[in-house]
Amino acid sequence: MQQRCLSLKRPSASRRVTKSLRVTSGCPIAKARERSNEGKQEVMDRSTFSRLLDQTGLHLTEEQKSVLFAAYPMFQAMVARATPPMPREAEPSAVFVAEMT
Amino acid sequence: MTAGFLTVAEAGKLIAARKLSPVELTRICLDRVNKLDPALHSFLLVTEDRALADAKAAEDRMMAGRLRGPLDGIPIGHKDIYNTAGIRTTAHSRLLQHNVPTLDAAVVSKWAEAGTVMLGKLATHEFAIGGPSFDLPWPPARNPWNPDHFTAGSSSGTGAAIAAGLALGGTGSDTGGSIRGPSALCGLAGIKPTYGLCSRRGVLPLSQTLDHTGPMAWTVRDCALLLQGMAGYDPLDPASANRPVADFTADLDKDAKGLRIGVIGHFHEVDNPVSPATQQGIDGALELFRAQGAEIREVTLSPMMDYNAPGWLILTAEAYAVHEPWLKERFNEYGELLRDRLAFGALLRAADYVQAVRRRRVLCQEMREAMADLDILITASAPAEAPKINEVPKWGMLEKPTFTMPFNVTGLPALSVCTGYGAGGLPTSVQIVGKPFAEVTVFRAGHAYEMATTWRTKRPAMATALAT
Repeated sequence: MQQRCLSLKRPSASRRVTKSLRVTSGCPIAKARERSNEGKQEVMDRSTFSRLLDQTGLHLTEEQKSVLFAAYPMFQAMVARATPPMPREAEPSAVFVAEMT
Repeated sequence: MTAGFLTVAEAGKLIAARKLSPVELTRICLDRVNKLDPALHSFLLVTEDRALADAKAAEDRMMAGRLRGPLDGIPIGHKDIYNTAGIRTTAHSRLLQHNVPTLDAAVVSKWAEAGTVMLGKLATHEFAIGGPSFDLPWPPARNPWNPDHFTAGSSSGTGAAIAAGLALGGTGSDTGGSIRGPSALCGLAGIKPTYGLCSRRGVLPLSQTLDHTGPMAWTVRDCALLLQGMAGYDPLDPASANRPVADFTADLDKDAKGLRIGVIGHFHEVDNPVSPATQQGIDGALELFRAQGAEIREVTLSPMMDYNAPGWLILTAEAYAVHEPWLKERFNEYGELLRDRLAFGALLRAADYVQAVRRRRVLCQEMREAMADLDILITASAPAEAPKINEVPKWGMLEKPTFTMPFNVTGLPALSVCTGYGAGGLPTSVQIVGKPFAEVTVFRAGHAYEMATTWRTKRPAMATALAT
């Protein structure tokens, strides 16, 4: 699961950023994303991709994994395009409404 | 009524004048369903008894002078993701093959209260995303202009049924283009209203922050009438906008004079170049608007893929969240297209989703600024005439940006209007986009175009052959 890439400790804010960068760099998705963001478009290898899918809790056949593996670079490219660097203060398009019942 | 085709507006006027029996009109529609739908597969369920009961009730009101309005006695169908109390609602999926809701969707209730006649439940892509699929309990709907060709989706049955004259109107839903796509490829008018204008309560969700409900019909005027019957605040839908509903037919008799129109040329000329016939249709519409006195100028936005990428990411994440329990336990009961498209949702990081919705705000701001001194935007609805149904790519949405997704991301009202017929006699279209809650202006432009052209006089050959 993706959470495994993140630290469960609560260091200081500045250290947290550094720490998260470091620990996520060991995560296959984050690694692939970093490559994609750098424009190198390196593709995750098949066995890593298969392990990732196994961690999701979905039960896929090898054939089904292969179909997804073939399309994954396109999906990665889309994610990279959807998540360009943003100003720290950028707000999401929906916010919590306190008086919501 | 003759064996010809009536619009919602025409039928409503005839019923109001007691010159048309709702029961007779309904029987004609049911007869067309019986004769044409074995080739079209637009209906998943025909509710004949319910239709005739609705029609009889409308006829009684007509005779008693107590008609409820322009939709009373009008035969319609509902996309099969709209819950209908006591009537099977399947989402075109094996997983809900025997699902019978106990409550109507809010929009289904509103149309019923307006007196519409429910003919049945219409085909969709599985859960409004997996299609066209050939591994589901029902086949995909076919395009009445040529049944070898795609209807687009996901409101595929609604598109096919209205184009062939099996129903006069119907409900669609639109998360990335599912009203405007089938309207474009089947030659209809279809509007995705402003986000929040119509309730989504009781409609099976795909992606809650992108899902819109809306009407599809043969003409723009019919869409305005049908939207009037479905718009309005619903306190039980958290996204519903608490504001007065406009009179959507108010400006239909004005032409385009004085409208300030922005053309997003790079969307359909560079970002995803359209077919020659589609381009000709857009150019023709702009010429017509200019001749009527509209002011037209070019608008430049971010590349269309910049709108599509966060849109598809948000859609995939939200849809995965909706379907995750079943995807984990019953993966192979879904059709291949749905399960493959949604499986990627399991690989998205929480931060990706949040970044996409942050990006969404930036894009909304860009669109708002671009429209500040404009009334409407114009671009394509679809890149070309309908492809063959067996040539639709599984990952099309990742390969090329769609013209519709930018207006799901920004929530703006967007209408698809038929601009003629291209290769193989298949329809072409244009998309007219308005400011938030400015559906009246969008309808005004679309109706002005339809009134100045003759495209609405032509129906698919399979339907006209039956009528003669």
